[in-house]
Amino acid sequence: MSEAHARFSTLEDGRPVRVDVDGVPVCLVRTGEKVRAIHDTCSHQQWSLADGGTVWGDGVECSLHGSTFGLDDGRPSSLPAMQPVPTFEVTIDGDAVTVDTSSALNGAPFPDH
Amino acid sequence: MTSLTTLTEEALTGASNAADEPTWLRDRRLAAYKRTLDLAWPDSRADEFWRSTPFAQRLDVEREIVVGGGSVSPASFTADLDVEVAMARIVDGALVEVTVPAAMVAQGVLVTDLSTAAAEHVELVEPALGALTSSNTEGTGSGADRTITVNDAAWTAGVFIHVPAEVELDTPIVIQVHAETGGAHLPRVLAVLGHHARASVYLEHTSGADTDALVDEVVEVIAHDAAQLDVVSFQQWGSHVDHLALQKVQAHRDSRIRHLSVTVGGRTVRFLPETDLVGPGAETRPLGVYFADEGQWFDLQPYVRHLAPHATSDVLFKGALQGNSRTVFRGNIFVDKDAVGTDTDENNKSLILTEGARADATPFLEIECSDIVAGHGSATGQIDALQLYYLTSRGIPREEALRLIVTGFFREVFGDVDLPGVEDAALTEIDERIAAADLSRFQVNDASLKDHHDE
Amino acid sequence: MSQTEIELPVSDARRNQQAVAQDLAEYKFGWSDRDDGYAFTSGRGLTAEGVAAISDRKNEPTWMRDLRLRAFQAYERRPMPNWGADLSDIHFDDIFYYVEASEKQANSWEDLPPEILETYEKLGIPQAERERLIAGVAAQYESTVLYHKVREDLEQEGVIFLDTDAGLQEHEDLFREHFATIIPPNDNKFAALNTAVWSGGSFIVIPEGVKVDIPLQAYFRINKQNMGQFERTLIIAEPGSYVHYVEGCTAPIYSSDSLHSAVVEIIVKEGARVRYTTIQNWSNNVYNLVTKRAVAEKNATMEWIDGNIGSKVTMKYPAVWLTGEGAKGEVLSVAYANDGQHQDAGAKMVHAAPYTTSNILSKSISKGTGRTSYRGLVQINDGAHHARSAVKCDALMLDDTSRTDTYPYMEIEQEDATIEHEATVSKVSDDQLFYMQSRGIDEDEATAMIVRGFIEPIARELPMEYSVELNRLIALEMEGAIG
Repeated sequence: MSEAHARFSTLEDGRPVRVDVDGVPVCLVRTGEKVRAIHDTCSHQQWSLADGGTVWGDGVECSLHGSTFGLDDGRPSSLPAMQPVPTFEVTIDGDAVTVDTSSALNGAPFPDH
Repeated sequence: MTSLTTLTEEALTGASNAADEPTWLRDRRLAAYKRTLDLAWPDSRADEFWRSTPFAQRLDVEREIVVGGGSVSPASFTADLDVEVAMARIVDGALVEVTVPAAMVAQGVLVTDLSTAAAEHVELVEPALGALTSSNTEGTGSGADRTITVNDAAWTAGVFIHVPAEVELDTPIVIQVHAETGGAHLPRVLAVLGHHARASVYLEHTSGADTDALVDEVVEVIAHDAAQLDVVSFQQWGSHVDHLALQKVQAHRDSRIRHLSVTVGGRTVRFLPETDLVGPGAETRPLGVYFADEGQWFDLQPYVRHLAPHATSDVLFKGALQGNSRTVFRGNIFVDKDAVGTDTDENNKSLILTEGARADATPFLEIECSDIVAGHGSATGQIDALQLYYLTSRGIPREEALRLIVTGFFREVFGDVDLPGVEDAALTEIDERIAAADLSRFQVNDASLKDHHDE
Repeated sequence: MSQTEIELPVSDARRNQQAVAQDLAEYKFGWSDRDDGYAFTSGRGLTAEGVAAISDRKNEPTWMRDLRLRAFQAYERRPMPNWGADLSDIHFDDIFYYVEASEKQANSWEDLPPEILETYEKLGIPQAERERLIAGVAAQYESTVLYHKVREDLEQEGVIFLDTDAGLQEHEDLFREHFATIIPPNDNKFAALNTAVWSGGSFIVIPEGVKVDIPLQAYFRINKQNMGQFERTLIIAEPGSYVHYVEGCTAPIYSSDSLHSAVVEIIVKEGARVRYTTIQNWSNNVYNLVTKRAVAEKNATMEWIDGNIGSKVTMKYPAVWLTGEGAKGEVLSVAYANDGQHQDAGAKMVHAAPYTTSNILSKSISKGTGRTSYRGLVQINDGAHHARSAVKCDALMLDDTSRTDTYPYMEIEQEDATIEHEATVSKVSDDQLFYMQSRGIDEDEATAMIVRGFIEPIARELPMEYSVELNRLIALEMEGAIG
């Protein structure tokens, strides 16, 4: 957790970005002054949430089959996903954004596909 | 270093010249090379036939192509048999030995280096080589497959087999493909059987225990009218070898093909035993036995195309899985609109022995002709508790009973396979795996016991 | 009508042939109402403004309007599917995506305008109503529901059976809780389209423990040339309840292509059972691309009975997600394709809980140059232990030019699953035909009998009037079956 995983100033409002943190793919979303992070792999199938995904309100919609994962609780709004994705703690220090992927804030299991 | 992705015209031309290949072959290689430039590597999302195996994740095409180096390979299992076999050995991308028994030579049988044969037997090789790959985009999946075209361009060592018309061989022709050095290996085999000929070809695939390699292989066989052909392919690789194999047979009128594969070794094995039934009355029996262990991934795709009337196909693949392993069975049957009187049957059974194993199946049928008989069946399940109970209740210890059930499961595939040494060699491989298995981890399905008691 | 030279006792079928032919000619060749009489249309082609206009016209809450616009974005972005049937002839810019009929909703049959009454008389509805064979009928004329009636006793039990627009207005909270949770707006291109322009369909809620003993029915009809049908159905079966919903449709024949892209979402809660029967007989220029998905919770049962007879192209794979322990899913699918038709249909079963079972039975018939494809998925997720699944696909090919495919996918992540799959392909045998002909049954009738026998395991699950309809259709279609 020593160096920044992203720069706040480069994060576009409402646009998901993928960063790799210690081998864990993370989907970072900035909404206003807040930055939230969830696991980047959809719990339904192996697909990147950030890649092609869309932010709707407080969730990221997976571009493959449309399940939208809440940025606060990681839970999917609909099928075909059934499991939540892990949510991670984000620390913002000036322009440095760091993500702690050592554990899931919401206790959700890491996807294994 | 030249890898599968960094081939160049210069390198291919140079290699071809060094092997004294004739112009027609060099031109063909270059034409194939040009085609590879227009092809992307397979994409599991876009290519239906790669759907089950994630290409980019599991296969590394940046490996350096190995051309010669070693010459030692393990003894063939036929060495213990009391038969005089013809033998060709490809080790680390080079053909290091060819031995043909005098009797076979006297009958006009050819087993020889493919580059040399391309010059010395051009009338036999030229029409046949690549007939089943480069011009045939439909047989192997949606569009052309770059992994096959790359072999068309850059195969490093090849064997040519010719069995003249009416010659019947009672002993097998054995081809060993051995990988000792890490890297990419591109072996090639071309076999032509004249009309009414009979022959069996064994392909033994082995490697060093720690060898880390990608073997991209193409085997083409043309069986002319009423020829009888047995192809037996053993995949006995070490656990760090990935194997992509197209083994394709073109079966002419009234020919009889049996294509048996035994897949027990390797890390990611994608195996395509294919038959094009191009002559009326042809018959093919693709048989498969597989045993997947921890970390192994087998993608088996027998593909039969009925392109002529009254042909028969009978596909039977049986496999067992233990540990964290994955197998995919994709049996594809295509029946052309003119293939009246087709009779096709396909069966796949996977036995899940322990936790962590996964067997998927996708048997396709594409039928354009109504005057046929077609069926297929697929089943996946664990060892049946009832079956186990019958054995243990007769005093057979549980572990022995489990072994019996598993070997018994495979016997059906060998039914009438009376080729020297094959059933024994295959069952030995399977026995070894069962012996090494932790039988206490074997899971048994008690669903049928419950049904039984509820009656 | 084919001639027969054998002088033998005349069968009922032959005696009634003229009468049946008359019926079927009317049925098959249909009729077309006049194209005028529409109150509002969003015009040809689709834009975000058009989508917003639909929502405004319906006075929808903002969240629905936003959802429609979001779905429209997804629809525009998604490429056409690269699998399945050939959809290259759909002219999206020519289609009317929303058309409203000029009449308001009526409360009884007599209130309907005369032309529409006449249309529905031909369909036989007033008679059925008189006989109280059906519990409620939602008649969909173009995109708005004109006539809707729920039987008094069902109303008393708290059963909700409304058109979807009314469902949204009158039960917004319940509606919003479930809408698009089974099929999200970006599930696939055509679900996205539906979510943007949906209109009509049924909203059904069966309260806890209530069992509806008579099938709820709906009739659909596409009338206007280039008219798209985008009905959206949402069915919620509360714990322990039961309902059988029957959807059948017919359309007149016309020359340019039509698009039908419906979405059906069903939630079957604990211990409940839902059966959804469809007999689809769209005219031969309709593209029928449907997303149907149900969730079956603990010990719940979901049954899809799917008959695909018409349309130019159908792509439809009723799905059941077995999310609760002990849930059961079943799909019985019949597909029939004649010249120029392609039925690409099947089923999807996702086992996501232990002790779940699924059963798929697919019977397809291809005639002339018709093509039927079975496309199915059985997926056993990790953790769904003790799952059992059996799939049987049988295909009957009637002509040399017919085509059939079987594309079954089995993806099994759980080791103790018991999965079986079996498929057969056959044709009408010469022996069978000869046997029947020697007993005075002509070829067409013999083939019709064989076809009926072939689909019998599924046909017997249909409500009677559908069986009758189906039998008549088979008789007509088998004319000239042996070439």
